[in-house]
Amino acid sequence: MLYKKWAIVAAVLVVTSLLLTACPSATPEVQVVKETVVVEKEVVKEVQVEVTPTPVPSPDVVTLDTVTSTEPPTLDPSLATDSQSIWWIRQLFVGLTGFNEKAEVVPSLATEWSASEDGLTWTYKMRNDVHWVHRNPVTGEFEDLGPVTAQDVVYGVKRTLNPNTASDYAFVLYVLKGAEEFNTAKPDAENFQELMDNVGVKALDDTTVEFTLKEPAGYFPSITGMWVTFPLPQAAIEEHGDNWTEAGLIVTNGPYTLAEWSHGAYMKAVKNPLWVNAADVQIEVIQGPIVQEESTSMAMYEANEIDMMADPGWGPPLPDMDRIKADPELSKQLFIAPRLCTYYYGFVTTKPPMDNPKLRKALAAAIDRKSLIANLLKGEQRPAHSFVAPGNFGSVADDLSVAGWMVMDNYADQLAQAQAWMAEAGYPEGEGLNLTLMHNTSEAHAQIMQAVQAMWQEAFPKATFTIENQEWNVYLKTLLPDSPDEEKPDVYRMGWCADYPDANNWLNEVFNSKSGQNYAKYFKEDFDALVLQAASESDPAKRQELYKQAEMMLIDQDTAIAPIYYYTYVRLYKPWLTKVVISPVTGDPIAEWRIDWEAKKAARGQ
Amino acid sequence: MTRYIVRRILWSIPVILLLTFAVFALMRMIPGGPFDFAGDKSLPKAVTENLKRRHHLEWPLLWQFTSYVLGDDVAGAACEVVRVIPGCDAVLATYQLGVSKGLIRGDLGMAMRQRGRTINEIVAESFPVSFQLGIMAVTLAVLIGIPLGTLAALKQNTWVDYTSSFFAILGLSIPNLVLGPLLIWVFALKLNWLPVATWGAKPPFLLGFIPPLNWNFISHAVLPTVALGTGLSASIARLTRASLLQVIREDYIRTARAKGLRERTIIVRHALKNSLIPVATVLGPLVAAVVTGTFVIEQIFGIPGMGKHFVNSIGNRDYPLITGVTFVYAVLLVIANLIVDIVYAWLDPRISYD
Repeated sequence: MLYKKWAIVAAVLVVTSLLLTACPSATPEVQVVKETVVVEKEVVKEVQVEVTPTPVPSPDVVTLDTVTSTEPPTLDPSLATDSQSIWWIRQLFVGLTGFNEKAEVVPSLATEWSASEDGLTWTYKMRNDVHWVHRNPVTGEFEDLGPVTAQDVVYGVKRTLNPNTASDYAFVLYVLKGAEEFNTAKPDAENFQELMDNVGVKALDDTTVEFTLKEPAGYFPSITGMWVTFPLPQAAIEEHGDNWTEAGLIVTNGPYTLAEWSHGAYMKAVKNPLWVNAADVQIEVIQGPIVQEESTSMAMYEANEIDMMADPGWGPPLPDMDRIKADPELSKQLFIAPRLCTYYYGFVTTKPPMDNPKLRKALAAAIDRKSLIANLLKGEQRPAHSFVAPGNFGSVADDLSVAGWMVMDNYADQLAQAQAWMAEAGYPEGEGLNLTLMHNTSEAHAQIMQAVQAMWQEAFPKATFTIENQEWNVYLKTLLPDSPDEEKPDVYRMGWCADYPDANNWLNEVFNSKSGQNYAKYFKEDFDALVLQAASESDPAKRQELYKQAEMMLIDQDTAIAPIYYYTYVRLYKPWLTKVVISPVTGDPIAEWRIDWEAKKAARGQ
Repeated sequence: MTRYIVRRILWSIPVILLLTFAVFALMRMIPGGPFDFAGDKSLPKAVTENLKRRHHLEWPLLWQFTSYVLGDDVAGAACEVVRVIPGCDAVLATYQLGVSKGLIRGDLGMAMRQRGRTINEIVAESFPVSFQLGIMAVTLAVLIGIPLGTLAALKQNTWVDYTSSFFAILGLSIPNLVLGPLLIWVFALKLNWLPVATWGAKPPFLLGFIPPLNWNFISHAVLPTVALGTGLSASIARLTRASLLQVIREDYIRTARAKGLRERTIIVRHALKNSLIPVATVLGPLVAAVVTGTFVIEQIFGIPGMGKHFVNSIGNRDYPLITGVTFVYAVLLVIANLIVDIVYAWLDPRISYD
């Protein structure tokens, strides 16, 4: 009786809920006939839109499983700016030069290159056996579209600079003659074509490219390793427009090509069998979902669903670090490498009282970087005393003669020095000092700033330090050098990561007087002249020395910023991976990796 | 009834338009634009201007909105005819770039932070997934919530009532942020029964939204559905209980009892139907909210749904994306409320709209 009664209630509820939600999903069997018709339609459509049918991967195709931490905004080398996009682009495309494990420039498409006497003309000789390929999305067959030529490089560079492409990173190429003029031209300008022709890049023959610079740049081979200079397949781009990077349409020249890209959901690249070194490439497929949550990604790693916690996905989450280090298995999988980034606190040097260098030095010295790293960050970061992170050409991270007072062995000595400077600056024990510290809204930045606030409060007990935060875009707007000083904080937090591993990308591009990134408003002609001279210098030893002088000026003498730490990459790799981890400005070359396939299968219970 | 529905639909058009304009204008008023920075690096002025021009951002606001609603060719045509309208210089200079065909022709515009992608594509690939999850979660919530609430009301102040209230409050007070990872830990990592995350189906779907009902889909869907559904079921249970308790004290129930009707008939035919009115009221907007995506659940389970666009596009200042997803949400909300009103008339014969 009771059972029957509830059966009826339940039935009513099912019907009610379906009516309320207007959804037929729970009753598919009712619509069998209708559905059959639609199935046929959908299959026909699938062929038309060239979506790859995904067969269940056979267990013997050597596959690297990884998540991507966010939908790559683009796979177009001219347009990419973020590390996820760049990681995938590096698997699909190659440029004139590349980078090795020490972030040094190595040959890639170009076999050799040389600069003219005056350093203004660079000539690159290219190999001719790298071909453009297109993968047929239906059959999975690869089509050879001919060799990559010097003309493709010219096309790629000019496309990045073309104002109609509206590339975010076009300014990296402003070192080329005529590049800035072309990039800033109005698309309807009368001399548009002329400006395009004047850009300093030329194909002398099919395998020789010549670049003409507007000023000497010793770091130029690094620039030709950047994605914005990659050769591009002109025919495919002109045929498909903005959609040319979709799976099925894309034409690539690297060891892998894109087989599937379900936007926001899943990515898959497969080996290019026509690649020059195809025989040496063991990993046939790189694939995985897009997962925006790092702890979820960690759970997938522990369930052996993915092979690594590294780019293009997440590193291990900070809250898990203590557990990972204590775990006998996981701690062996931990991989820590330097990363070309520096975390720093900047001082708005034009805003009183921050225009006082002694005050800035005192604040910079009164940060116990080692304790901050050991107790709060826990990622094996390295205490910083210079702006340019180790691994970049021109870094003085190992040279304690530059601002070594920021990272003394004994913090008590460092603190005494800071207090002495503070007194010299006119604020004994911080008397009369009232400073605003600002960070962009984020739990991690807030914690660091609170710790620094506590250290400063302890060092200068009579001063007042107030913390504020702003949402990221608002924050950057507040800090822009053109924004009014009254709205700016006294101290701001910021980070910088290399676009290419050379001090020019740091000291010159961030802190020259014209830089949009010069939030510290460090406007100094001597410094500008110094970094410009360093950029033009072709002798590496002399360049290194000039950058040391620049760091000396920026950090030790003027202390426009207080470097806090150099970033590290903390990653987890399954033991069955044999990896080659190269400089973090680029994507790791999966084509050179190996997987112990039997071990991976065993771990997954296959 | 038909007249009522038509009138409601007509009325909703200015409402949606006004709402769209509010989002459209407010987003543009927040400091910081989509092209000021790449990552943490500020871009040179020329580059920013190139990008802004590409998206008509240098047009006056009202022209931008006109082109968003009617299409830039219409805006351009209007300016070609009457060149003196303020702001027409800017329009005439760049309307040929072709940014949007206009809402009126079903074009939600072009994404600013995902190059070469349209909002229509983004919605088309993410909405069905959110819809599937949302419908399953709401169905689960109703299937658990209403019986639980009914049971609690009928056995008021007995252990049945206390137990069901306990679970309802538990469901309400454990946030998804906790429940999701907890479910993953137990069922995926410890017991190894289900996959950790991601969604088991991808477009194209049958009829646009029906997923293939295979094990791959179901196994991936169980945990997020449960995580999302239990929270919802708790509030539905509480609501059903309160409403049913009120209804069974009404005179007409006493009359029904006096007539000697069977208890089952009284509850199912007379009491429960009427007590579902508040539930239906809540369920309408709830369904609209849930099927357009839930940020937290999608984030935790790595589901490629629409919820993330509501949050991320604001931080990214992707104006067309936030406007587009809000528009979709608003339309669904209007439809859901209309359905609720129609259901009222069916649940309670005293309500009529003519």
